[in-house]
Amino acid sequence: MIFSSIEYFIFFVVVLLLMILVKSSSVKRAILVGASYYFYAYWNYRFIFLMLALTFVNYYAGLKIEASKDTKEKNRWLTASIIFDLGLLGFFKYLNFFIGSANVIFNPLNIQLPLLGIILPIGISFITFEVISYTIDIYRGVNKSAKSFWDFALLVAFFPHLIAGPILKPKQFLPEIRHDIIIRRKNVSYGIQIFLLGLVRKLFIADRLALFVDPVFAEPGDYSAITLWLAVIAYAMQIYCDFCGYTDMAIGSAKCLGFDIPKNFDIPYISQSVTEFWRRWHISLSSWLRDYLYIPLGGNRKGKQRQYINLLITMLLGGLWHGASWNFVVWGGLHGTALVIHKIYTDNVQSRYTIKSWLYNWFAWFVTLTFICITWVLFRSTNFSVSLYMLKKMFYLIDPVGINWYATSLLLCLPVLILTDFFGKKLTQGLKLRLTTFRGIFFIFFVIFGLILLAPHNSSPFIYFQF
Amino acid sequence: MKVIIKSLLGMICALLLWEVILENTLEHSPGFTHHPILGRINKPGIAMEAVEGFSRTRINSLGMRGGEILPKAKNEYRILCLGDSYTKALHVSDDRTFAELLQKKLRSLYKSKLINTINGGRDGASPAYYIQLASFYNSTIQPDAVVVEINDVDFVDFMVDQKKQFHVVKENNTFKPVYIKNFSSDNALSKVILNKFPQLSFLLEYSVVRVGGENLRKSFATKEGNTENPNQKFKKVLESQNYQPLVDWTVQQLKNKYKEKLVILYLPFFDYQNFNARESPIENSLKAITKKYEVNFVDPRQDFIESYQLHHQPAYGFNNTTPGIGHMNEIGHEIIADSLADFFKERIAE
Repeated sequence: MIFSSIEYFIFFVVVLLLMILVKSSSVKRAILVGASYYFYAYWNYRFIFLMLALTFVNYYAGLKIEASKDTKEKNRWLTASIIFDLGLLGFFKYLNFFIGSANVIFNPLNIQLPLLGIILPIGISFITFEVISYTIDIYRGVNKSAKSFWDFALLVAFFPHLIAGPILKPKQFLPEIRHDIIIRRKNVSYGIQIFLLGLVRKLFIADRLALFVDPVFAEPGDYSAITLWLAVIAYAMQIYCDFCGYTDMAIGSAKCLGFDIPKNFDIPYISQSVTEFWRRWHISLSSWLRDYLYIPLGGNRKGKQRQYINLLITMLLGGLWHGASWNFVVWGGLHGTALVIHKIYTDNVQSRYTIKSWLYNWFAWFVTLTFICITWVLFRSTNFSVSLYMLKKMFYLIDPVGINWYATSLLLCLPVLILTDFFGKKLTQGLKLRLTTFRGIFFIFFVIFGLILLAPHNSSPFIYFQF
Repeated sequence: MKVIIKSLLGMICALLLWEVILENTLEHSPGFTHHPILGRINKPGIAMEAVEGFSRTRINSLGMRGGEILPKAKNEYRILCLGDSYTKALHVSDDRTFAELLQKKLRSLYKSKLINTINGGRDGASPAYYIQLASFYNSTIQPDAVVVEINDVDFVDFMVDQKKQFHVVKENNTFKPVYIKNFSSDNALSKVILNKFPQLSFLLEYSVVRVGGENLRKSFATKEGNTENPNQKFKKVLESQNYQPLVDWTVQQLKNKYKEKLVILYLPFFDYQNFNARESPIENSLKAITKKYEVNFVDPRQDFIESYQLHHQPAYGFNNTTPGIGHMNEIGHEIIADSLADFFKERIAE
């Protein structure tokens, strides 16, 4: 049940109606927990037990950490809960990756371990990070434990953010759960607008570009170097609109239900450095990595060299978080290296010389965007050798000949992407159409009909669901 | 009440704006009309296509692409090209269809003769149409040669599809042509409106209804996670049945109707990732059966392969779809026109 499906539309309307009809906030919370578990079970009902286990163990650990007066005991509970969380994540997501890598190392010794038939539970990386941040926050004294098990269950399972984030901060979200949940017309109206924006990003841009990107990445050998470059640019747009579209729909759905989910993107492709890019791209993950990995590693408190190493470690693990493959490790490593280089540059050059000109800004933007696009090759390719092959062909290191596919969808989607970013910015700045006015109704219908008439009918799953 | 009126007004205005946008940019069909012999044909008018490729063309009073057909001149050599959407080719511009290119090539070769080609392509048509309409085409158009474009889909789907106005059914050990006189449409949405709500048939004139209705139908029909490749599905069907009897019957019937004027043009489909894939069983049958009935047969398979190996550009697909898949693009039409021109060179010279 993806957000852009008819099933989700029916599901959401039913939940919203129930929330309107029910008066008691505790019943409303129960409805939301039930709906969230139903939403998760729609993919595979067996994994709701996994989510329940994660919820129960971390809730219990949170209570114990809070109740402990002794730091050692707190440490023990925190360590136990993190080992449990990462153990589950490691088993489901990384075990086969480690077995595969071990097989490569031990291949000369003729040792081959069998791969296990493990199904990756959808959204497990997001859920794990969510529960880890909950226990760490209690340990640090930043946040108190949830008032009840159901409050925590709702924080973990709240369906708009369940599958692909944003990773909610317990400190922000738990108080929202405790407030009276009231469905307000103003919120529903605003929520619908954000949801529609996400739907345009997903259906019109991401799904249309997928029709170009998928065949090229599936058979890069068939296409010319120029087509590969175009496909990489298209993928950069696709992944942004797919993930940002998902987040918009999550924010919109939550807003209709009376909850505020923080934004996850802030027009990332206008960034003039990789550092800026990570402040604008997948903000909830970047801040999670900063708060729960980079800072505990020492951040910038232990000297420059240590800071660079911390940045690199954070990004390598951030890459590995995305997927159990060397592609993601290298992708994270490249971004980490770029962050380090940028840090060295800002420390040594930018801090000494003030460089301000449109040409410099334009050049910085171009270099950043090119770097990001090139690294997307690793993110999208099926394996590392395909990535290398594509990069070689893109840089004319091997025969660049192949089918020239000047996909018109790229040309069509670019202005729409700019428009959606413009309207997205305006929406967050407070431009809201009142859905009771003629202008509001006309605009909503115009967008809905536009989607029906122009969006491709074969909607593809959200890219970030695999993580 | 006020909100309901506002909502209705807002909806209608949004629809109207989309209608204007679609009519002037992407999709426009002149609609359909009933012809006493040809059946349900495109109304004369302007047609546009955008799902694959793009063109803006004129439809004549016989529902064919191009201008009105004039009485045959004395020194005219007239070639009628019959076929389905691959021949009609709304995906490429008027001067890029193989019928038009063939005319250009032959005219440059034989300046003393007035060579005309007529594009008789019709969306979704099959040999069942050309067999049943042969006497009309022979008497009205008076062609000197009739090119019948055939592909695998004709035998696997179109010819035996009982939802088509002209189709064939199996009877004992042979086949029988069928014509549905009271035919409404082979499109699911149009059929529902025309059969159940005929008073609403005017709605089909609007692009928003046609395109929107079709997209909604497809969206509901597409199930999440259904990733079966339609090409592989087609291949499975193609290889699971014996089409030889139908191919034999078809060639024999076409030969009977068009006599020596008949030229069968086979359109091969390619897997551009695997040129070594064996030819389709229908192609092999056609080769043998056309030989048996002494029918002229043009199969440009080798020309398609050579062109791809030389230029690395597939003859099917467009920049707004996927190269290698779907209808023929300009390269494909050029190759077909070359193959046919080679064939007609000798014939006209004779």
